[in-house]
Amino acid sequence: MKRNRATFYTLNALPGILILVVLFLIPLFFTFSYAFHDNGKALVEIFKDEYTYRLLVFTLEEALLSALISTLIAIPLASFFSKYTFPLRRTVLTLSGLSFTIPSILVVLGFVIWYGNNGLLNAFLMKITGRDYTTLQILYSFKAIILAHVYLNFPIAFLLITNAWTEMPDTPEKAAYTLGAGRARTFIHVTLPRLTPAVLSAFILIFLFCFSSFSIILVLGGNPAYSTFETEIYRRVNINVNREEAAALSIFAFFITSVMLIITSRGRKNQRATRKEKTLEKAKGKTLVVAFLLILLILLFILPPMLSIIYRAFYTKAGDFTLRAWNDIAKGSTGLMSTAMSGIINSFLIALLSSLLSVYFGSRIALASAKRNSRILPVISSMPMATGSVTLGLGFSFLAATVGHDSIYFSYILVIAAHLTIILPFAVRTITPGAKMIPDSLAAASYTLGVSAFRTMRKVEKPILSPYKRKAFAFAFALSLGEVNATLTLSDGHVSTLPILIYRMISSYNYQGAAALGTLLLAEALIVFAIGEGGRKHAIS
Amino acid sequence: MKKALFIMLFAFAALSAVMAQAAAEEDVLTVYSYDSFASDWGPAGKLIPAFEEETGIKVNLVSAGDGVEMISRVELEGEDTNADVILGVTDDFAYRAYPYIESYESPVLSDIPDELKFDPENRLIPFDYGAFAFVWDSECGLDKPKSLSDLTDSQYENKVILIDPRTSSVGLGLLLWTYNIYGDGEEFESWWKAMKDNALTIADGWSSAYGLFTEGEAPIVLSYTTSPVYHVMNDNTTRYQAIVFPEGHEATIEGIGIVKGTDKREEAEKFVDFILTEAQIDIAVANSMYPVNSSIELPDAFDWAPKPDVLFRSGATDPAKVEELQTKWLEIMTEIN
Amino acid sequence: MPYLEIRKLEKKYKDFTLSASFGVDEGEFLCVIGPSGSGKSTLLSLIAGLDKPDGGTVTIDGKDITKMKIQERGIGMVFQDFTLFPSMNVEKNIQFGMTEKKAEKKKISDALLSLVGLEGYAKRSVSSLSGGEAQRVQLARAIAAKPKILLLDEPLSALDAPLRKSIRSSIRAIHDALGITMIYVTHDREEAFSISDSILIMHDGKTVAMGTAEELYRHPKDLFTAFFTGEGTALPAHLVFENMEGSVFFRPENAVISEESISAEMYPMHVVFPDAEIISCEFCGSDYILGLEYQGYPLLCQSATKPRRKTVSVMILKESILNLQ
Repeated sequence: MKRNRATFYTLNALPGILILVVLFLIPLFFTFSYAFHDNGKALVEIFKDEYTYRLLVFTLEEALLSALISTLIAIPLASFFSKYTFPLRRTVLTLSGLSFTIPSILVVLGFVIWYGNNGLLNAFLMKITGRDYTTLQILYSFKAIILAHVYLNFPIAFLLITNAWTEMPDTPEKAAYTLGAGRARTFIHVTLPRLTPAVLSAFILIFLFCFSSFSIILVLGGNPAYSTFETEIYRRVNINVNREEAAALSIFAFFITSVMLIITSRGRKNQRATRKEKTLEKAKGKTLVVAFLLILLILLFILPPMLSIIYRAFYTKAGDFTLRAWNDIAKGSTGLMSTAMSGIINSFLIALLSSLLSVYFGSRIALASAKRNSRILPVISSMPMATGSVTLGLGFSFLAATVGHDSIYFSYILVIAAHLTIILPFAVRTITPGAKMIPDSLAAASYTLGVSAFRTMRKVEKPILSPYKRKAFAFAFALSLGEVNATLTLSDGHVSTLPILIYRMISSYNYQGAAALGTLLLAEALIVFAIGEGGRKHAIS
Repeated sequence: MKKALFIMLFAFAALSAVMAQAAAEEDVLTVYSYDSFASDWGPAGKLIPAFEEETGIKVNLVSAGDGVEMISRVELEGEDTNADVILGVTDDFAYRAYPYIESYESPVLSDIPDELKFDPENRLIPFDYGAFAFVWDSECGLDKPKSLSDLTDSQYENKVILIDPRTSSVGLGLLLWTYNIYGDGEEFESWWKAMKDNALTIADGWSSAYGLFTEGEAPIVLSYTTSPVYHVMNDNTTRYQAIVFPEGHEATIEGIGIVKGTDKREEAEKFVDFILTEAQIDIAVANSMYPVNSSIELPDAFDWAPKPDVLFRSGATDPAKVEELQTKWLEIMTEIN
Repeated sequence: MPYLEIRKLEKKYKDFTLSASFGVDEGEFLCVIGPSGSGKSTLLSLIAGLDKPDGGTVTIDGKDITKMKIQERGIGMVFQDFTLFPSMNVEKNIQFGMTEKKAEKKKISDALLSLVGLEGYAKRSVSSLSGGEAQRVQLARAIAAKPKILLLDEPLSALDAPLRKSIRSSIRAIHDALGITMIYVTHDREEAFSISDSILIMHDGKTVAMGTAEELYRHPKDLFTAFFTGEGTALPAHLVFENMEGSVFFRPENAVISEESISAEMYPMHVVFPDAEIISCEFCGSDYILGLEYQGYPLLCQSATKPRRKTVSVMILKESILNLQ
């Protein structure tokens, strides 16, 4: 019977898995197959090349370090945010997800405007110190790479861990205290083991992101020695156009990321039913002061680069206020309503649909993998993350060429499906810890009431996933909102989203216009997040 | 759950409304181009309607990503391709497009200077070209470099923004440029070694490099000779200037070609001719490139886009040599001094 | 033929095999007791269909349900864990398995709430309930689905003693009022004695004995049952009767002590152990339970008074002595 029930959940997850297979695995397979042309000559060469291993060492180094630092910073913050409630708590959690929406070119720009040698921070420091040279040299070094990666990815760890920790009852901790265990010992032996799935989930997501990062690394690292696999894959695909070698490198990278995924996918299930939700303590007195200090710290870290983009939308480099960027958008070729507006609407609808779908399919996959205690399901659904954007792009262009179509409808559907493939791993990873906390006895109780497995899933189990689904939606939405490559490849240029408009603005030298569009993008994400949070208050559970 | 379903249905409905506006039609000339040409802000927004009105031929402009992706797509689609014309193949990738396109002896060819015609069989016909150059901030207080070799001077330490030849065609342009001037020996090596100190950073692409430049991170950036035009036309400033070196510049030429076996040969020819004549100015302005048609008068702002006297064609370097140079470059740049 | 019949039901695990055969009559209240790990909960899971047996059959009312889906078996279950659905309030939880019309549902769930003594709890959130309240709601919810048989898997084990007593008697009252067949798993002998019609004892995955509480207490068929149903003393049989094999067993209340020395000849109906030494003396309300030692063997006796001497004689009525294996 247990087996039968697991089968039900597997069947439920099947449509999502099928989409992954058709949209992702098959194109990937064809992309990879190039590596085996000529008896796998390219593959052999890649393996023999000493440079491959140098790339590997650096890539692993920066990815592991970025993931480690991001989670290490996130854990103490999450511990506070999952214990106390205080004003602005939700706002900060929401804001920290925003950095996801910004396309990488704007992240670079935001970083340069804020942290640059001639950036706002340095201008400010020069004013107070009275020096006339750059005070704080952050960019163009290895630490800049880590800073940018932590900036971009810390919110993943912060949100995932806070979410899991808040849902976790604290009775075992209290038990440990009564046994005389100190805070540190309790944390290491009692809290951390239970928190591990969430921490690992965040860690591996960040690792995968940083593993396939390259533009930020090149620009902000300032040294070609800082090259990742993705740099080389990009070169083989776009500059030297050697599909065999690109595929061979991709396989190599894919192999490593998959191994990481598999190692970290050990499924352990929390079977014990919990009766009471943990109620958050209200921060008072000293804790309230700490809360505000932490909020300040987080905001000082996450906001400036974003605010810099908004600043640039209104002020020139010389510091003069101007609305020119906005006029430029308005001028477009056919006016504001049809370019920027259609960009906003397109972005919104595509992000909305793909993220709703990703939560829908993602929660089914998460439930199935929790029920089966499966290691393979989370791995499969995380594969698109393990692939890297360039290889993913190759797969999508293969797809675009294979389905060859004229219909604009089809373009939209393809774009949404591609976004779905990209954001699904996030949805699954965000929801799985929640699914693992659902005790089996809950479903058993429902079945003995004569209620079908389907209704049980819908009425009993899915509602428990709600907070996780909400987080997953926010992630997915933000990610889809900022997506560029897949949209460009699959839309035949008929679908213009805000990030695509941003790239087009920049390629015609209009950085200020791009900043203005970036402002719109942030505003759009913020509004959707705010509505989502507002909806949470009204939702009765 | 119901709520989510409702939202989804609503979004689908809204999307259908948006899509219905842009439904494609049958029996049209299909043109593949790169994204920056096809976009609303690219030249296509203006040119395609003009062409359609003039000739009565409907055009379906397909943006197939960037230039390389466009060729890849044609390769993947092979004989089944929908494309009748491909627009925007650069001369260095021309060899990959040749198997799929056919010659066209356009009457406009006589107006195009011979040195730009990179394909003797006229399968790919050039329609615009640009030259890589260093753009500098003339108010930065440094001496204006007069040659490529001047850039190695120590006063430019951390003052130059370069672009990686492994990830950007502009970066690759500079690599080939230095190869054309210095060869691949001692001189090549010492130039790049010196630039290790003088380069503030080596960006992944032109977009971020130029962004760094406009943010004032460094006063010299690798870009195009035409870059100042934007600042003249939009910012009304001549502060940013392209520096022309007497020893010559690396150039990139973009071509247009008719796809082999098209059943719209006649319409395709009309389109190519249109691009080579009436469309020249708009394309040049939008792409920040020079028109190939020598009879075209450019706007005044192009006075700030000086044409170099000597041009090296990027496509002239053998792809195998390109890879060898990249490897050599990487060795020089990552070697510890 | 019994209402519920379990025949040669088998489930194999790596180091544990469950095999059970027994029947329950309609309307009966059966308690399943046994030490932890004896397979009580597994047995319930197999009956409910939460687990799949490796062999044997489960029949209800003459119908074989062994291969049926959980939902179609008509077997309700109350779990030891908190299994109320957190997404629903108390009322919604109770109505979840009901098939009636909406207005009807409301009526029934209100009636059930008052049956379990929780009037006015309908709109309460389940996370606000105390442990005892939560188990009452579970009970109401299970009954609401109109099961043919209700299984209760140690429903009170997490509660404190007074609460356990009051809820167990209300469970029995509900059973008597509704006439539902119930199988109640517990590890608490006293609980089983107080509410059951009959008791099934499990040991190491086997059903070892079944009968009413009195039968099992007074006439256990084996030592395990004897000890599991109450206290007592087991001695090698040859110590008491010549030519007898196995062990002899007697309950403390059948062993009387005398502080005077007595001889066996005076009491032909009894077995007499002279010179037993008192090791311990526990007061348990009405009586004292004495722990004695006789020839190196421990004995348990009951006494109305606290003995003053260290050494006493023990007399056991011969006919109350059982010869067990």
